[in-house]
Amino acid sequence: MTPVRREILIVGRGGQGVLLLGRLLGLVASRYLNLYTSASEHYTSETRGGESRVDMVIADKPEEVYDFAGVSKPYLMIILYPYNIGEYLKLAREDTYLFIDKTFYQGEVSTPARVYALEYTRLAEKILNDTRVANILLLGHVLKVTGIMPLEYVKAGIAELLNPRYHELNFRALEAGFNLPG
Amino acid sequence: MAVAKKVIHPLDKYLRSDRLPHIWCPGCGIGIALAAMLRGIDRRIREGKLDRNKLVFVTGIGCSARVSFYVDFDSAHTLHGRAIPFATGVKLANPSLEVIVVGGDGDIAGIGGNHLLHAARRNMDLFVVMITNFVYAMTGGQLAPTTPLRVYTTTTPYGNPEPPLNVIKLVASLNANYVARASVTTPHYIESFTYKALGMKGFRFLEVVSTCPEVYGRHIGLRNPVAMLEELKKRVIYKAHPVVDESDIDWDKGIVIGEYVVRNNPSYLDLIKRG
Amino acid sequence: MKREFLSGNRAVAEAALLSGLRFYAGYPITPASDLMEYLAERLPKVGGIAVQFEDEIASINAAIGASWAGAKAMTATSGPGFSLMAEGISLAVATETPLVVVDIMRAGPSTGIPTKTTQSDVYQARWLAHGDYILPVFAPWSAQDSYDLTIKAFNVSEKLRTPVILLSDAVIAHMWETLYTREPGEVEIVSRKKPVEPPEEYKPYKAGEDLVPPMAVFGEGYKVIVESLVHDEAGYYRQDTRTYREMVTRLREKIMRNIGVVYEHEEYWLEDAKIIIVSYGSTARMAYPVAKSLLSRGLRVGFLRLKTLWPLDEGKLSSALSKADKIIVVENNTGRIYYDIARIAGRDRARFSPILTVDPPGFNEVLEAVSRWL
Repeated sequence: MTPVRREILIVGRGGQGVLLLGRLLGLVASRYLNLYTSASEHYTSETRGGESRVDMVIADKPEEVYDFAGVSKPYLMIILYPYNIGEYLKLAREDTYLFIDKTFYQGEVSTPARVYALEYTRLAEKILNDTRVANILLLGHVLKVTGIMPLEYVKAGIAELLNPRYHELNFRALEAGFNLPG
Repeated sequence: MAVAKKVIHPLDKYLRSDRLPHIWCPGCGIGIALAAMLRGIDRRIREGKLDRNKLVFVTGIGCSARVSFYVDFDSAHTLHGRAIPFATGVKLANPSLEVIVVGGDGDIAGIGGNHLLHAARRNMDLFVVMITNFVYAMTGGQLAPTTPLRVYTTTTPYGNPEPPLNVIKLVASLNANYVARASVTTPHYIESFTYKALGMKGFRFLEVVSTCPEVYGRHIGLRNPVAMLEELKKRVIYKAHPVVDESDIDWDKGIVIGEYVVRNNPSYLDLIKRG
Repeated sequence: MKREFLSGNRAVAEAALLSGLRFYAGYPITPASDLMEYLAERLPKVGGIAVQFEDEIASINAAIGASWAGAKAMTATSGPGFSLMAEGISLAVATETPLVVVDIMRAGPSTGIPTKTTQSDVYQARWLAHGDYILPVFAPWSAQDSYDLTIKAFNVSEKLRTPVILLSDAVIAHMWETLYTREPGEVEIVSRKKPVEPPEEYKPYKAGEDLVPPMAVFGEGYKVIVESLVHDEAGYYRQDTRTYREMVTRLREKIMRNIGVVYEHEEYWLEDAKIIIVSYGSTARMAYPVAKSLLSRGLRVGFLRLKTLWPLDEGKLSSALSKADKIIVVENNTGRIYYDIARIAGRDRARFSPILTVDPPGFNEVLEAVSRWL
């Protein structure tokens, strides 16, 4: 088995579910994929509206995550809101998968990365009548494009993390994202 | 080596008599207060309402706090001002225990004042007995939160410039189920209020106005224990239904004792459904 | 064993629950509040209780009281709140109360920067309170280590009847990581030794060979005496030198005699190392890859991570460091553990690479700090 070490950056605005995406990916990697994860969460003191960011590494050996001090070679970047987007785009490389919510960013994306820019929030409103699940819809698309984790495991992770009354909505959001063109 | 203990006093059975003589000065009111409390406790024990092995005395630091040296129950002699939080931890960890806090006015309402008000607010299931002697006696006669205005103490050599704290009023304004005051000149009330408090739930507070002829008596010119007791006795007024507005301790107008608050609000343990 | 993904603080909470925690007392303070929030939800479900008190003074005293009522007790805080707990720590030492105090370091002095970390409270953890005493201090560097060292903290506190400090920091506390948690029965959980003699013969501070007195608690009919003042075996206050000396000596010796249980460090590539990098806590997370990278460049570099910051097993540490020409201590402060290493390994061999940062140090930052001594 070739060693796996993948860095993931998730950026957005407080309230968009940035930290939830990080915890979901970490949970699924740790529990269902037997991988090792280390993640740091960054947020401002405003509960809503400030920048939220998760820096995460996923690897198949514990010592591969010990030296992690923040994303420097991203395998995956998820930008839900374009805070400091210029700075983050500098990190993107040719083999980076870059997902941007175009609902909040209409600017040019000049990068060597593989870019997937859709209006995820608007799609969430249109398909699910609920913008709160834009993060999960985007994640569904990530799973489809990258194959980083099986859909079923992510569903199981959602079932563990969220209150049962939100399971159905999030499952539908995840599937809607997964059904977007790859 | 089992040697039958010689009974020299009916309350001997509740005392660690090997630790006697106690440290209290001749004429000190704390012994009267303790004996009266023990009689109230004894009534509960004899009625089968209280198990002496489930009774815990928690005290802080000061002359009054030394009662934990002498009572033959589980006891804790802890930090200055911290008897109430310590006791709260005891009660919450094992609600089957009856926890009694005893302390002076400095210990309970001075350094421990914040804990007192929050325990009363929570209606924490504790019985707190505050023995008020108007002075820091163990440390040699400094200002207490209850020292009357203008009285000389070693740290207010020009007279106390600060109005005293009325602890009855403070605790009654919170959520305590029982707020009462007695005096060492009325030990029967100390006994009956103790007895009553031990049959209740929630936060129960008893202030015992005491005499300290050795230290406070020196400050106010009443060094003779009998004279001081007589002077206090003259000023104590028992009322069957005192109101909080008459609870200020005023040496000229008199000191009203009695049960200021008796109610049955949900206690902390009721509120968290424990015990 | 179960794989989980938890923050450092949640790992502490889960390990505390597995260790038998039943009473938590605390006061909100960043970066320790989320530990209490998590326990406030979890503890009632296992028959325990979490209470938010009026301040940290009440919190630690309530935890000590709960321990004497038979519950395993814990409190958690950060620098400013920890300062308020000083007198309580001293009470727990003198009364030999099993208690775990978690200090999540943030930047100081004073209120400092609540959300950011440093390692400036190492001496505070060791010597917070007044009086002549020692107590164990453990410093985790990951979520897994937070979990494991919390179990150890409870076990040591119960075994040796002493307060134990778990010294985490803001980075470790809020770092989410994969870890293995244990099921009941998968790891040894120690509980305080109970007296075997009847109450009439029991002396609450009388110890046997191991210097740790069996502990009766309230409500068991032992008429326990908890005494804050200097006391003899019976718990009676004494003011003489002999009693004082016996008490203070035993309080220290019961820990030092069990140094093998208390002290722990991790060694990496020490066999042929001419240079050993010593670090701990969140700073060790970057000192480790720096050491590894220097090693891969052909330098004879080893790495030693302290898990126990106090008391140090000087014999064990000294022999681990004996073959190196240089020992470089990397820590996020102006010099704490460095002075111990300099004393133990000798000033001629010890070097200090302070990292003064409130953000997790980057690889290059640590490499640069270490390189000046290469």
